[in-house]
Order: sequence, then C-alpha cells, then structure tokens
Amino acid sequence: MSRGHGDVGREHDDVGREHDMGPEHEDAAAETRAGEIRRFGLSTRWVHRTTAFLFGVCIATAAVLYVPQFAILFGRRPLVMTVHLYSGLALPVPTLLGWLAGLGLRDRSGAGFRRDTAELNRFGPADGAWLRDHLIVGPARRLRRRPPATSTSITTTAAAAVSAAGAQNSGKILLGGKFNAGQKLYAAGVAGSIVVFLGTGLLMWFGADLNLPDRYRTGATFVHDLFAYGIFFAACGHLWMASRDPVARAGMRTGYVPSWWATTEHPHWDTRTNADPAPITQKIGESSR
Amino acid sequence: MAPSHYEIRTVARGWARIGSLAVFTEGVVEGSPVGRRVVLGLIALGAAGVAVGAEVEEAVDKVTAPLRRSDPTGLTELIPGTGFEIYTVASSVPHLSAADYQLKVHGLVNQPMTLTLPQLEAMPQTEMTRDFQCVTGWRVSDVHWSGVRLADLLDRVETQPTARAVTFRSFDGLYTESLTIEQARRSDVLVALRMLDGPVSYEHGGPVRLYVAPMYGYKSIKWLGEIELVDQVDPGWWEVRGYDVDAWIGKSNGRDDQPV
Repeated sequence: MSRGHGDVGREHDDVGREHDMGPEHEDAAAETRAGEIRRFGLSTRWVHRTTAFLFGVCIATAAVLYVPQFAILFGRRPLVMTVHLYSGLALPVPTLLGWLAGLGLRDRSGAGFRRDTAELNRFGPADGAWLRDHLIVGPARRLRRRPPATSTSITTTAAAAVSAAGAQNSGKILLGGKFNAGQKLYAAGVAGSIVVFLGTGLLMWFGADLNLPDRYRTGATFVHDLFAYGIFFAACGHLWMASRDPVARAGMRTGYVPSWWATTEHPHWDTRTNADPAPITQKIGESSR
Repeated sequence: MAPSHYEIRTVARGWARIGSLAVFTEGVVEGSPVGRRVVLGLIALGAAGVAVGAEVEEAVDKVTAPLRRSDPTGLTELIPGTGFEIYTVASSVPHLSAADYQLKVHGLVNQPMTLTLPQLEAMPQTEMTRDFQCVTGWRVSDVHWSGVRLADLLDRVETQPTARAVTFRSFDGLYTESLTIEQARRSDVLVALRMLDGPVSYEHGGPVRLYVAPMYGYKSIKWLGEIELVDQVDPGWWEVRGYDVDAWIGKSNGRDDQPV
C-alpha cells in the first residue's frame, strides 16, 4: 500500500465531500478513501499504541525483576521496580481515556474506540464458527466441521438494516465482522489480565501496609507471575501474527485497510457502511488532474 | 440464526455512508457478551489464585524441588514461586575469582586484617542446612550452607570493648548491612563460602557472602567485601528504605513466616 498516494487521495476526498454535503457530514467523509476502508479511528489507534508501549515497558522490567540472567545483567532493582510499578499503574489509563473520550462524541472523534470495544465484546454465530474452525484441531475438528451457514444470514440482516437506514435517512446499521473471534478473545484476555495485574500488583505493593496475611500476599505474587507468563506468550503470538501481515499493521498505523484485504481477511465485515462509493472515486480522479 | 438466542445492543451513533448518502445511524452489534465473560472469568480466576495460591505454590515447590537440584540449565528457576530469585541493586557487580577475592576486616579491632579465600577456607568450617526466607515472600527450604562462623572471625580480629555493631559492605559498591555485636556472634551467622553443594556462585553473591539464618534474606549480604566493627548500628541499604533493622523472620516487617 502506498502511504503517500493514500494521503493525497484522502485530502481531495475531504475537500470534495465538504463541498458536496457541507461540513456537518465530515464524519462520513472520513470513513472513505480510494479503494480503502477505515478500520480503526484515531482513539482506537492511540489506545492501542499507548497500551502496547506500557505493556512493553512492563514486560521488559518484569524480565529484569524476574529472570536471574537479566537481573544480573541490568541490576538496579529499585529503579526497575519503580518503573514497573508506575507503568503498571498507567496500563489501564489509555483504555479509560478512550472510553471517556468517546462519551457523547461522534464516531470520528472518539466514539470509534467505544464502538470497537462493543464489537470486541459481542460474539455472534460467525464467531462460533470461527472458533470451531480454528481452535478445534485433529479428529474432533473433522467431526465438528459444518458448512458456514451463518454468514449468509448475517449478510441478509445487514442488508435489511442498511436498506431500512437508507430509506429513512436514519436507523440501525449492523456493525460487526471487523474482528475475528481470535482477536476478540485476545482483546478480552488482555483486558482481564490488566485488571488482574493491577489487583495483584497493588496487593504485593501495599500488602504490608494493609496488614494483609502473608498467604494472600504470596497468592497475589503467584497469580501475578502466572499471568505474566500468559500475557508474555499471548503478546508474542500477537506480534508474530502482526509480523506476517503488513496490511493489518498498516491498518493499525494509518487506520485504513484496502477493500480487498477486508473482504478476504474479514468476510463478515459489512464494508458497505464505510466503503468508498463510486461517485466519490471519480471526483478524486477529476480534482487531482 | 435465532435472534431470540442472541442479545442485541445499540453501541454507537454516528455518521455512516450508505450508497451515496451520509446518514446518521445507530450501530448495532449482535451476539452474546462473551468478551465481558472472559474478562470477569479472568478476574475470578485471579481472585481464586490469590486465595489458594500460597498452597498451590507450596505444592509446586515440593514437586519441583528434586528437579531443581539436578537442573544444569537453570530453567527451573523460572517456575513461579520456586527456588531463589536473584536481586541486585547495583548496575553491575565485579566478577571476582577465587584468586582475586579479599575480605577486609577492620574498625574497632585490635588485629585488622585482609583475608584471602584460601585463608578463609583454612579456618574451621561450619555446616548447616537451613531455609532461606525472603521478605518478599519466597522461601527456599533446606539450603546447605557452609563457611566460617562470623563469631570465629570476630575472635580472630579481636574486637574492642567499644565495638557494639558490625557494618558489612558489598564489593558491588552500594549494598550495606548491619548487625548488633550480639546478633553477629550467634552461632547461626556464617561468612558463607559454600551453598547449594558448591562454592557460592556469582549470582548468589560469590565467592563469599553472609548467611544470617534467623533473619530475612536482605540481611544475608551478597558479594561480601568488607566487615567493619563500629560503635552503633548503621542501618543497611534496604533498612533506610523502610525494612526493619532487626529482621527476625516471622517477627518483623509485618510478616508471620515460620522462623528459621
């Protein structure tokens, strides 16, 4: 994907749209770009970025605190402890800010993150099919494999919702299909782990001051360690999969993905609600000449 | 699809593009809130782990103890809640070979001296098998220690009557510790030359460290380089940062561990 070309296209797109429909429709204009689909809004990308950075710091400092070889190599335990503590305390902040930023705001300026978390939360029939296809391996998978009958019904419902919305110029649109079930599970796992890390971490740090019995402090340490292993391997898998898909990475970096990628990687994603319509594409072509 | 089976929820309002129209819409996501259930499930798992983690850890420790003893890779050290953790406060600690090592003993003594490792090895050696308890909660049971009793060393340098306390300094250049003269003369306080059936390894504070059996691990200073007899207790590195100066296991730092 050519970043430069995309930017130029978007600029013209915005200009053309403003002229066409007035500034109040800018949100819709932001959704489109020649041959590309908006996948992540600014709020989602910033929450992802900052959370990833803080998690990186937490994991790196945890390695120094926990793995003997790194402890010897880097030393400076009190400094590392302090960095670990504060980056850990900050870990839920981007998510909370993302949610707050989305309150009462339209999709473009912050509601995107709320919308994305809502979609990550909900598992529909397509997600069940995905999980059966991906998580069940071996003979059990052959036995349980079924035709993906659910996809057509989703599309039908989506089409009905879209046409209803189009007729009334307002109404309900079926969102979904932007994430697969594995991505939803990963997001939920990370969110739950952040809460557990925060809770057990606070017990470890303030346990003595709270006069908490030793066994709960030991239990908190044990849980903190186990979840750290879990999140480490999960994050490695996340990075591994990202390393194999430059388009997905570009989607998180720029917010846009090509339409062909959306249809192949996320067949249930109803891209009509934010696909680039033909007349706009023509307009871009004219104005850039 | 059976709509009655799945909850439907309005999640977002905003401008969306349908055909050539921009419309204000409500977005709807279908399905069950599995994500929320996963989050709540993990939180419940974490809470259960806090409640019973201490017992689980003890069980894991018992099972893995034989593995740890015969593990040349050190990978068993990574099992949560088992074995030693390696703590160091300095950015780097010099590697001192057996030939390079020196222990300076001075202060309020009649015979200040600098001892080499062979000289320490030539002194009477005391062996004991005792637990190592860290103030952060982990405990390694039945560690085999061997070395020179600190009391023997103090006799050899002939402490003066005005000496009321001992200050220990690590050759990492930062860490210090302290004991009163009475504590230092206990028979379960060793200048350890061997632990875990071998010379004290570098990461455990070798070639020479202290082992104060009845006190939390931070008293057992690693990479011991200097012993000074002084007239009053000078709180150690962690002690000026909040830990108790008298670090009796089970009777200090707000903990109730079993004494060693």
